[in-house]
Amino acid sequence: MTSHASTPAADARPARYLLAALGRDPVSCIALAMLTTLFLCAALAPWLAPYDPLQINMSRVLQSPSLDHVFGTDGQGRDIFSRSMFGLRVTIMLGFAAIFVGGTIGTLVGLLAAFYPRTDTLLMRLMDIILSFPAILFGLAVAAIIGSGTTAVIIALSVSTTPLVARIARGAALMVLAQDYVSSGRAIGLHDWTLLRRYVLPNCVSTIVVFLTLRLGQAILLGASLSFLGLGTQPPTPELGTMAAQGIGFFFFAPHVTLIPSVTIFLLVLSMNILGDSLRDILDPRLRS
Amino acid sequence: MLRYAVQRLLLAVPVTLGVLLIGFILLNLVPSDPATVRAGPSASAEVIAQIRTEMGLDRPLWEQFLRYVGNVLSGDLGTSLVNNMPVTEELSRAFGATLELVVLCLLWALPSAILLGMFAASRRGTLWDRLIMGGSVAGVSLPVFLIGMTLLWVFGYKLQVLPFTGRGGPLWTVDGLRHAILPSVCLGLIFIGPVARMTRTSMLETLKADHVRTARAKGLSERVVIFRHGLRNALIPVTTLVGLQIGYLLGGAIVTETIFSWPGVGRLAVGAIVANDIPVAQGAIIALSLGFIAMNLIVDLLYAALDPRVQAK
Amino acid sequence: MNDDTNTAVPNARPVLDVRDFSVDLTAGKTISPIVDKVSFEVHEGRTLGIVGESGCGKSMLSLGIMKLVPSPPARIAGGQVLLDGTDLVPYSNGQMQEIRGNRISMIFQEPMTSLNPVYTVGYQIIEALRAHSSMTSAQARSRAIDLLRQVGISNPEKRVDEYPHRLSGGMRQRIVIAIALACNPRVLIADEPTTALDVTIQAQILDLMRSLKSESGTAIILISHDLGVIAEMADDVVVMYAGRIIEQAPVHSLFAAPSHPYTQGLLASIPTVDGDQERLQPIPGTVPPPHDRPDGCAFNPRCRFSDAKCRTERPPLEEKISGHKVACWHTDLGAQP
Repeated sequence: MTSHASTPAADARPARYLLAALGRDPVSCIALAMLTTLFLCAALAPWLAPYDPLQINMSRVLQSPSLDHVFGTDGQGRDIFSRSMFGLRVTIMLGFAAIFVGGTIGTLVGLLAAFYPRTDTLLMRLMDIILSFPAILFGLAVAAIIGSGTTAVIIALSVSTTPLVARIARGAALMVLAQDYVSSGRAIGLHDWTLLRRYVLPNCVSTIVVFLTLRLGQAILLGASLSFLGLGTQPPTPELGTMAAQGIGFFFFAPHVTLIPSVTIFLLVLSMNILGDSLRDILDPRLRS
Repeated sequence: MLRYAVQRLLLAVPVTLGVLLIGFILLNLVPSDPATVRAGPSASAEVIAQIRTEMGLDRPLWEQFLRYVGNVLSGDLGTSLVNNMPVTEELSRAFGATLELVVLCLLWALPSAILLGMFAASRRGTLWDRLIMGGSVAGVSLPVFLIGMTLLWVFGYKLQVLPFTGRGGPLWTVDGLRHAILPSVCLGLIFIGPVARMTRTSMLETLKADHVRTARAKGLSERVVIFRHGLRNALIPVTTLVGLQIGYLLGGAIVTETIFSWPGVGRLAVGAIVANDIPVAQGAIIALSLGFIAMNLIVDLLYAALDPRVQAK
Repeated sequence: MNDDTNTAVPNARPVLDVRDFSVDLTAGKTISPIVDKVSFEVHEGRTLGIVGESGCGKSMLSLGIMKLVPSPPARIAGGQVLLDGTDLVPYSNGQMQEIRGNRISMIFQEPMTSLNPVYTVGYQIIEALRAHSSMTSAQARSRAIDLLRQVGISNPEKRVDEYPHRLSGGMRQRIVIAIALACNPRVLIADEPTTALDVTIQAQILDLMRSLKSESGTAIILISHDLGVIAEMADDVVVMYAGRIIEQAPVHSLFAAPSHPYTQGLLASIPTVDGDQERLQPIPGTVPPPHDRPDGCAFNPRCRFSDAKCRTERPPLEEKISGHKVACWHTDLGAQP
């Protein structure tokens, strides 16, 4: 039996190398710092947030940013800073959930299509059909079927991510399958699943992960848009898109209620896109469009 | 070219049927029973049963689907559960508004994006180039509602130079045009970044090509070389990208319509879904899907017109 | 200089007279010559072959004559390019546009990519015609069809409306030649015109070029790394190494008595028909990159005759026998390989 070390994994480069490469680009450094801060805020929200994000206080409605409330308060007197931290948490989790589900199913489909040529045409045609519809339409359709809510957003985003990942996984897997060490693995009688798990998957992972990091920003943006439209996360749960939508009613008196969550999304997605681009350039020049 | 067009059109048929199937599933999967919604909260069981029969809801599913397809093809998408208006009528009004928005957006955003991309390519490596490319990354990271709300705040509220709610009439009237400016600018801004970026890359790539050197060696002027042999070829990958961006454009249109109260299909769809008005929702989703398919078809044909190698396949 | 050209007999005046022509290449902060003071003449109806390994500067030289060097990083650093006595080096890009494709044309190495895939071949020929004459489109089209026939394309009335992707490599190269010949140029520069083609197609294209030359009297500069092609086509030969001319001679003289060790090496490294493979001797080493050229004779690190003088002083290009110039300190040694 061959050991793991004998498979020439494409992602053998240590994280240190990656960080060093990113560190050479000042813009990437800033983006990384911003993203880390935002993720920390989201992760530590229950401990860092100065107020309860759901605590309504009708005596301090629509206050402008002040020392008490750094980002001011919303239409029900809730602290926007605290809500933004929790909202960030929900928004990021939405994105990750979608990427995880879509990424897993997509990888499976792609690997199957590459590994069993008989299923290839059927699976990939199916993926093409799904791919021919924009994610926003899935969002509308799913929301219409199961009702608005977080689940609807995750399903819609997963469905629209799946075919993209499937294509990339299939392409990467086909390249791996053409290598000699896979044939020798076959020759020594390894089981299909063992081959897939031990040889094919590890060599596709870096390509898929790079793609998913690029996709994460788009997924978050789309999820926030659906929530903004009222089809995603429902109030009172703090979610950045939902929070932005709740401020519309008093936008002219208190624009910060809408602008603060919107700008937070922007900074989140911007730092992700910048890092995603740099990662792609470092790790996988093949994906460059 | 004609053969290619017919081929593409035929390919769109199964996708369209798929859309109709989804629309049908939509009508049948919703947990809320349309008959109950139609009958109102205080209706008796008999009344609901009668409405069910009237609506054909007691027939087998495949028969319902066939009837559904027949109805859709003859332009009958049912009536709204909220205001009893025929869905087709609501849609036809909304469709024009959305089309107007998208066309106006493409009219200004596409040429601007291509010019920006060419400019960045010609000033490669300079501050201008970095500014445009930085702006392009920022552009794809901006939530549409942030763009929309900012435009609304600045031009609608602070400066009060442009109206920001609803449609002012047909585009060719002054009022109509004034109303359409902010929404179409909002929609265009999300579109410009990626297209400019692709134009730049593609232009730089093309200008390195051997055939551009041949064109120069023929003694053509630099303007002819850049536009006729550079841009013309560089537009091929740009067209592909525009095709891929149509989905985002659609998503952007839905949000834009909601923000600026633009009476289009997107706003209709969102409103119907929130109000649980399933016939209108499925009609709007079908209309959006068909619009999407049609735009992709146009892009495909444009692509074939730009690149003679495509038709050969 | 002008006096010189004015008093010369018209027939004896070269069509193209390149004098001390240099092209510099900028890489980072270093500027290095990739074409270094090159001089040669091409006469009407004659073919000048330029030989050298890749990296010797022969392609940059040809692009330099057309003033098409990619700038930056490259730039014409000096010298003269006299076309019928007029120096092109000070010409503006606008003035050069009237020369290119009209009085000097060019054929490139890669027929698969040197035509624009989105226009018909007819359009691409007509474009060249109309850039330099006031033909109507109907006239230009019938001239394009004539040209296609002239370069040996069957059924030209139909082919004129084809897109390049429908044609084979050999056909495309014929089209490129048709474009180059469209305006009856005085000089045709062919940069490795047959390298990318099959041997049989290669022979056809060379035949075509030879017959076109004898019909029109166009002077040809043929750039190749293939001494076989040069022997077959050229009247005079220039051998380049590291941006400089190291040997220059009429073709028979060069092949009969190669004088520079590098030329000798090139000749020894081509397989002969009698096929004695043991005698095939590749020259050890590679052409030094422009920023890393050795002092003295650029060939000295690879030369078996090199001595202290070769490493410090650059040998001038001097006429050893009538019409045969060599740049080597050891031609006495080199003449007897």
